[in-house]
Amino acid sequence: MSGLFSTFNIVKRGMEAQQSALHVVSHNVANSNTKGYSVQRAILKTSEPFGMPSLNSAGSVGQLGTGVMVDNISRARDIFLDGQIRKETSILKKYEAREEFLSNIETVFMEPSDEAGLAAMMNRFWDSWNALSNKAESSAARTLVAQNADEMSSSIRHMYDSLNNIESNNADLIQQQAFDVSTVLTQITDLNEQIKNVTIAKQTPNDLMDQRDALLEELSEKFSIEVDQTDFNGVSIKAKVTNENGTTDYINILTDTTINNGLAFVNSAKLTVDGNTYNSTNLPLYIPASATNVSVQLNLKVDGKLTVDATSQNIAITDLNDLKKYYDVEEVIESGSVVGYKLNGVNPHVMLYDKTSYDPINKTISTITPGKFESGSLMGYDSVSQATNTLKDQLNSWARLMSTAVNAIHSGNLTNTAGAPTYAINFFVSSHNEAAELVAGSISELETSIDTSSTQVQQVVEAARWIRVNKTIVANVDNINAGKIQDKTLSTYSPGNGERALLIGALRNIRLDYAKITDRTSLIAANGLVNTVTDPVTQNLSITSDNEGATFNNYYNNTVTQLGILNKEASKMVANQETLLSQLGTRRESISGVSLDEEMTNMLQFQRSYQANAKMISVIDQLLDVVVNGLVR
Amino acid sequence: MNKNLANMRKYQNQLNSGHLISKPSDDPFKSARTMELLDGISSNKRYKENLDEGIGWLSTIDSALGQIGDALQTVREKTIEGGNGAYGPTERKALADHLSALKDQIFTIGNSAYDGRYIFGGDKTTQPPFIKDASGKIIYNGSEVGLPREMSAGVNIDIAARGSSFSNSPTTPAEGGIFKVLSQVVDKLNNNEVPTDLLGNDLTPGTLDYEITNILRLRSQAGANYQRLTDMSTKNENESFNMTTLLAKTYDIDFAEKIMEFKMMESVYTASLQTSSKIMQPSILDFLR
Repeated sequence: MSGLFSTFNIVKRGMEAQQSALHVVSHNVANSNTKGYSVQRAILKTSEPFGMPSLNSAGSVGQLGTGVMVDNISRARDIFLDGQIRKETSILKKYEAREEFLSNIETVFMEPSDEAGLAAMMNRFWDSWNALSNKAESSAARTLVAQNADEMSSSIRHMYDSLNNIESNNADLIQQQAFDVSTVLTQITDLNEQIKNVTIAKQTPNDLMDQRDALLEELSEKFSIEVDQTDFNGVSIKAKVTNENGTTDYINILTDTTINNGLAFVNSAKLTVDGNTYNSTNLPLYIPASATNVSVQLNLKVDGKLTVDATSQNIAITDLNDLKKYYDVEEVIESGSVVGYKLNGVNPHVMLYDKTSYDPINKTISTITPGKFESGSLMGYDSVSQATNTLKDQLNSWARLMSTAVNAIHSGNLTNTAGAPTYAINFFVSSHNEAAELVAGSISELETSIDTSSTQVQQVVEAARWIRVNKTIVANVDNINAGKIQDKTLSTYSPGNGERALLIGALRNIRLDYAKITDRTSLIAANGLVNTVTDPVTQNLSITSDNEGATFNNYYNNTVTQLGILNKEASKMVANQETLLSQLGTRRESISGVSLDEEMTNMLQFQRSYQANAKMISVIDQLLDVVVNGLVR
Repeated sequence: MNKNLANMRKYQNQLNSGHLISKPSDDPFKSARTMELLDGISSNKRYKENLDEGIGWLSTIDSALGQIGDALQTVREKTIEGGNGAYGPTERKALADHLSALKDQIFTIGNSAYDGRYIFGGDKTTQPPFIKDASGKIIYNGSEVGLPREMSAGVNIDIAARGSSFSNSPTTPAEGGIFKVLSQVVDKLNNNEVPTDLLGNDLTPGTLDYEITNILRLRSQAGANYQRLTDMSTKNENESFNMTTLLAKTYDIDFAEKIMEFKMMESVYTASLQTSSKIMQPSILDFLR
């Protein structure tokens, strides 16, 4: 049975409900510009009706309603769309990272250019040799050769150094991002805890969930993740990684309030092969496939705490393919079979480590997984590091072959061995070992390539890093051997002969096969080089082109073009992903965004409803007035 | 709007540099082509210099050989004159002196230089190829090694003239060729003998006529080389012109076209600015009190 007082209650409830709804509206309006905020709605529902049929219930009509109540406050969010946005963001950030660094690398090469780039310097280098062959007597022409060669070799050294700088910047960025990720992961676990508490108390933590969604999106910028819902609105995050077999693995990063795997930055990696150790600074390294006793010890920076000493552990390597987990590995193939592995650099730079078993006091970690993410900026940076290694490798082979060919012709020595006559000096020497190489008749380290027949671990010579014009030539340009006969004491020597210079100048058009040529002997075999004569009248210096090879200019142009293609692809992908993401963003905005028009309409609606409820009170008051004051006088 | 701005920046860069591409990623294939063409143009420029140098060198040789030929013609006439039966020792002695002077002249021509380098010394360009010993004998001291020059990719042309081809070989340091015949003629005239037997014919080495023909042959060789270099030079210029035209097509911008594109982009940008300023539609807020 209901009375007027009971109607009062309905009105009171109505006013309360409309007030709550207005509260939500004003929250929406206030947050209309908040990033990651999704619009909230107060869901109204009729309250439990009064009067259940029972023995003592009065035989009155129907059930009487008891008014309205706020059932819950929900947010408008499309979880599927969120997942899609996270996935595409990861891809976007991967290519953004690539584009950023590849553009930097492009500025290092400064091509195409008719003056500044290495190609122009190479042309000037060839030109000056050719000019010297025209005027072998002229010391001006000799000086020009020395200068142009010096300019070219310092330019390639500078390029190589710049690539190294870019690589270390890249590593710094990875370290910074791994640190950011740790912070984000902790925030997510904190939020998970709060969200679960609120949910268990039968409330909806809309704003906390919005915050968590924003953090998840931030996380997806760094690496590719899969997000799953758990009980009571918790989430678990899995990282999508590619293992060395090329298949995809899902590594659990966190579930609810526990971080299972943290991100650690690989500070350095120490390789041990048969008792000998090699640090990251010794890279690039060549390991023969026959090596058996190989292990890697990683030095990790955990949780980005830069001051904390790193954690290290031993990883036994049974299969050499396991190296791919820790290094950028290139297989060295000779006549169809793998003879060894070239470690170009540490890769990936991030390891996932088991945080549950991490002991910060003894600094031990039981399990690590290589952080080869499928996409995201961390993956982008890692792939840039690989691209840089490839470029460095190409510059190295270019510099190695340049010194092999020029030195072989200039010195007239058939092999790169010690004890040659004083006039048989090398034109290019390695500044790594300069003092020893300046001496006439010494070996040039630049020409050393990997000896695949050896069972030793070898350090790959970074020819592009060390190449330099022999100082004795710069100091005295008369030391340049321009003529057919180098020995000035012989009667057959003549200062006007420039055939040796002509031959070096002709290298411009000579094709060389980079794979075939490992030293002077193989150069002589592959290109039929004749670099020494006894009778200048009947014998000639000569070299022939190898059609399977490429000229020095070709080789360098290819390197630049490859870089251009990579960067073009990256910038195209960035543009595509941006378009895609802006479409997805628009879709999300239409679902979760705050429309002020809509909010205002709702506001009017609730306001009027509130006013109507208030009006009801005055009506009931009048009715009560009749009962209280008007009925009995 | 950002895209439009980026496009405008691209056109601005192109207009500033005058080049279609400033970095390889702008167009990797065009950039590769550009680099190839720049290489080609640069080496062609170098070959052009070699050709010019070679042409100068050969024309010096040509005129030197011409002078030697002229001198030898005079020698021939004087030799025939020496056969004149009416001549006595005095006349023959006078002729001998004249011929000695001509021999010295040929010696001087043989030591002529181009750009400070002796042209008849083979590859020994820094020392005079002919020397006169104490007894007045003129001996070739140069070399028989040539001077190959790269005139176009992989094409080496020997532009050297060897003094040994009209005198002694450097391995036998005694008078030979022209100088030997001249010395014999002079000796005969000095001895009041008739020198006409030394005229010989085109086919007998060691005779005057043979040497004259030999000089003519050498001269026509040099001339043929000269002609070849001139032809190559023309070809080189054509190639350079073609490559430069091609480079202009791949690397350089068409200013008129680019400015037009830039203006178009500018109006697109202005249009997008205008639209976005008009996008502020009336809202319900405008009607609420």
